[in-house]
Amino acid sequence: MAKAKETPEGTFDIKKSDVLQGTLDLMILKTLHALGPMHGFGIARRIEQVSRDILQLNEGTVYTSLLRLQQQAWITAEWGTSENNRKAKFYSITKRGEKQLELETENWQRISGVIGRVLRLEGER
Amino acid sequence: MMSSRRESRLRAFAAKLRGFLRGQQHDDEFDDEVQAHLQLLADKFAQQGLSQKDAAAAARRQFGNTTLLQEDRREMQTLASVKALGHDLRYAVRTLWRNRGFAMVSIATLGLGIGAATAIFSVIDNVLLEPFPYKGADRIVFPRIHGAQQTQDEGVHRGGGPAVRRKQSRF
Repeated sequence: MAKAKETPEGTFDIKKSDVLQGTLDLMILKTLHALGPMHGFGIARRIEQVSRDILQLNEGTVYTSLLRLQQQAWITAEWGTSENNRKAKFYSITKRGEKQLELETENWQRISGVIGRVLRLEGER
Repeated sequence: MMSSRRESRLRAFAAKLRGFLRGQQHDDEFDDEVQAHLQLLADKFAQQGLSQKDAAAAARRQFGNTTLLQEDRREMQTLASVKALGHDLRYAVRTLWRNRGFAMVSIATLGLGIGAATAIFSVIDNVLLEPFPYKGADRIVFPRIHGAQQTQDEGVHRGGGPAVRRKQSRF
């Protein structure tokens, strides 16, 4: 993690790490799936809200992630007007994206389950 | 984590190719999007009681490096290496055009060098290495009978010597 030094204790920094990048993609996909079309700012707010300040999000990375998702055709983007009548790009999840989300969620749960079990190992010596 | 890594690479490449063919027009759109985000973020901080200036600074801090983001985006959206190659080629042509005498001499030298090398090699190839255009030319033999009257060389193919000798048996 590039800026680990500046991250206050007890928080995580999404930047360079591949694992966390994938996680951000997954979070964005899920956000769009749960809340419908949104612009980048809305997505960043939502993730901030859900993560309760445990995640230190450099909000610019949301856009890199959105681009990555767009390239895989998991989301699409459309220009529209935001709540306060500004022009904004709205992102929404596609069918392929839904499928991918399902797959990734399953994957994530399996992996975190395994890791959880491993970390709970004790006293069998 | 991807469903199929190869497919996802392919899609990313296709997207890059599209971006490359479409050119730079996306930069402005992306800038607008980023600026709008920064503005909204600053508004949010201002509502929380920061001064206009502090709010803008805090927004920039939370958003991160915009230049770096643009660069990342460009790298993701276009074939950066092909573009760089194009720039290099154009630079080369410009430089040569400015130094026309030097360019002429270099081109002539290269041309003569390559031409001469090719000519000499084709001669050597035809005369020494691969004289006949047949498959397995080094195994072609020309049998003749020893002890007959004719003594002049009947032209046994060079390089075929050992093969000829091997095939010769005394009757």
